[in-house]
Amino acid sequence: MPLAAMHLTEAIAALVQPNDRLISLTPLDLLIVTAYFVMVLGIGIYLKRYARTSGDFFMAGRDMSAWVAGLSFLSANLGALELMGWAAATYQYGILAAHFYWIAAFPAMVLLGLVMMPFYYVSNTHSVPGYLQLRYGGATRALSGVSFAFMTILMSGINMYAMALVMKVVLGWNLHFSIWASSLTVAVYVALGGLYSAIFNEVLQFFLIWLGALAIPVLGMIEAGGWAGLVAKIHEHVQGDYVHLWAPLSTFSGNPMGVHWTGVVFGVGGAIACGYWTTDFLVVQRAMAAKDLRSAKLAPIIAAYFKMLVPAIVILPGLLGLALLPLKLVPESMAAPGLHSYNEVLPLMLARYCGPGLLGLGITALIAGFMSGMAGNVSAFATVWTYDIYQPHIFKSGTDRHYLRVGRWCTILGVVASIGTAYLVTHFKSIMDYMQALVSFFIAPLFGSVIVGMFWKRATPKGGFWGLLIGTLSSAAMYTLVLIDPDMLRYVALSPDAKPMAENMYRAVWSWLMCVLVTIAVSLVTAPKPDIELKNVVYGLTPLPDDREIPLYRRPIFWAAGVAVVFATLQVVFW
Amino acid sequence: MANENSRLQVHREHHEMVPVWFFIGILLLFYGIVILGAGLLEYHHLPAVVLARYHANVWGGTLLILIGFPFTARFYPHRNRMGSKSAILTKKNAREGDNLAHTESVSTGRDRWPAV
Repeated sequence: MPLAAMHLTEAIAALVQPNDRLISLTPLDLLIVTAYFVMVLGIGIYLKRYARTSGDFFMAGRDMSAWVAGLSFLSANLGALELMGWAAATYQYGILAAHFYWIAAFPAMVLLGLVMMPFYYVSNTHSVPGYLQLRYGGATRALSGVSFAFMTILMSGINMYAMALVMKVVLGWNLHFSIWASSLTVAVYVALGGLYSAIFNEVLQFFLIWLGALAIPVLGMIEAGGWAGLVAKIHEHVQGDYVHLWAPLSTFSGNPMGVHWTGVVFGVGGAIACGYWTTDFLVVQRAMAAKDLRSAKLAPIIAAYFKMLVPAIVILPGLLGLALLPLKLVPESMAAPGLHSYNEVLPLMLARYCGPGLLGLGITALIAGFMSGMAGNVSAFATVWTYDIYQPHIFKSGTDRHYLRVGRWCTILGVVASIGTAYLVTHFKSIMDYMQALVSFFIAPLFGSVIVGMFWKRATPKGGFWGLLIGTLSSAAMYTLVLIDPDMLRYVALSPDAKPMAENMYRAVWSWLMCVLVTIAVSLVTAPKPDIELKNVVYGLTPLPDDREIPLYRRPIFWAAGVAVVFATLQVVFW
Repeated sequence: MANENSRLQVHREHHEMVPVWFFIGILLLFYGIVILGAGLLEYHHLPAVVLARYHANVWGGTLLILIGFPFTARFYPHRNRMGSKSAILTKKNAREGDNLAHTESVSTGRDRWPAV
């Protein structure tokens, strides 16, 4: 989750003025934007004929190749909110923001691909809450299902509102027009083609984002005079270390982010990244849609390579903005007419280098990122609602055709609810901060529940339920504590020098630990499920296919080793 | 048997689905042509952006065409309609449907390695 993007709406809202815009689009740019809308609607209309069963609609027929599943896996997370937020965070904190990309790729994505995906896939579950149903029973499934359904609708609305606000400030578009045009487009193509449409458009978005943003790092590095020139120019503008990944993390006070390496390793790399990439159904659903186990394992590993490349179009523009922009960007709280906030660094860099044509492509990439974020959340909501709430608790004996119809209606209602959420955010902007925090409450404890359940046969249904609940409540409690008294951060992060960014990292670690400890403790005093019910769900009771007869270069573990090598190289180069 | 034939029919139809790469190719090709065209039209009347002399639209448009054209040509629908015999044979080993009419109370388990 883009932590820096929590302040996006406040920053941009402060700058909203009628007819005040950063960028003016020419008819050529508008043609490029329009072509995108026509294409995504056309894809949805085309794919409707293939979404004829619930399996097609919710799981894309489990027919995706490793490449398609992998690129959509990454793109489901790589929305415009993420791009703009992390470029802003880089402007503010320097290259440390790259940790949220690199240490997320390894070990989290590799862990999912090699270790957890076999259980998700072989168990034949349709969702992460579905896996929890198999492992721990209905109560845990209901807890995670309801929370996930709630979160996806909130996040879809946030994406919608953030996009509308960005379009208003950057382009001068009417807020309501942006909300309705984008939401209706998403509603049409996802309701028609289901997960097929969402995945197709995410893969399309992947290409648009890369190609739309590529001009910034290329031309920026030419203007800066290479890496050495960039570093020199950064040092002309700011004090402190903005260009090293690990060297400044030996103390909380030694870096702009105010974090310690333990927070990055265990918080970001451990609890947050593993929690998000291995249990957030929005992304895991894409890997589950793969056509076979090898493809399902490869999908996150393919995504990991591209995840490690994303800093080139997100982190580097932030550093280039710090070095090259003639004006100094300010924190959101200081934004005013005539001043630009950190969150505008990406659009400013786009406008700096891109004339009519490439500018339209860049704006289309941002729009595509926002809309894919909405579509992904809405399709995940429809899946979790139909599979994990409606079918098991409301109407168990429907036909497949009935559930397919429910899924389509759920998609439309999900978009309507998202529009409602978007308008709610317009009136209560702090809701966005709380929504982001709400999401973070569940991620790390959910990872704890899933990982203990996958590898410890003795974990019981009661242990899983209480561990997840207590872990989530402990995360909410720590957040509330620091909100009421910011000085409590010193206890959460174990240092008086910790800054707000450290809170999320350490809160994730503690809530994960709390979940694991409670799960273990309650499991030891309650009855486990019999082995027959844990078949294909738990390590030791799941016959995982052996791939030793497959050539080495075709095995997922080979490519996972490549991720590790690239990751290690990046850490050394940017130490 | 009727269910098996029905499933094979569905999978054969899905295999005739135009792949996403074609849609990507055609959109990028279109973008490449318009952006390259704009770049050539403005060659001697540069836009008011930094480093305009590097003609980013020309390079960008060319790159888009270089990516879009092969994708469009390679995945053009007539090449994919029939599907390969081996692909259909592979689909014969496909799992049972994921349709919701099956309950999820006990995992059925699947060997997901491809048959070939």
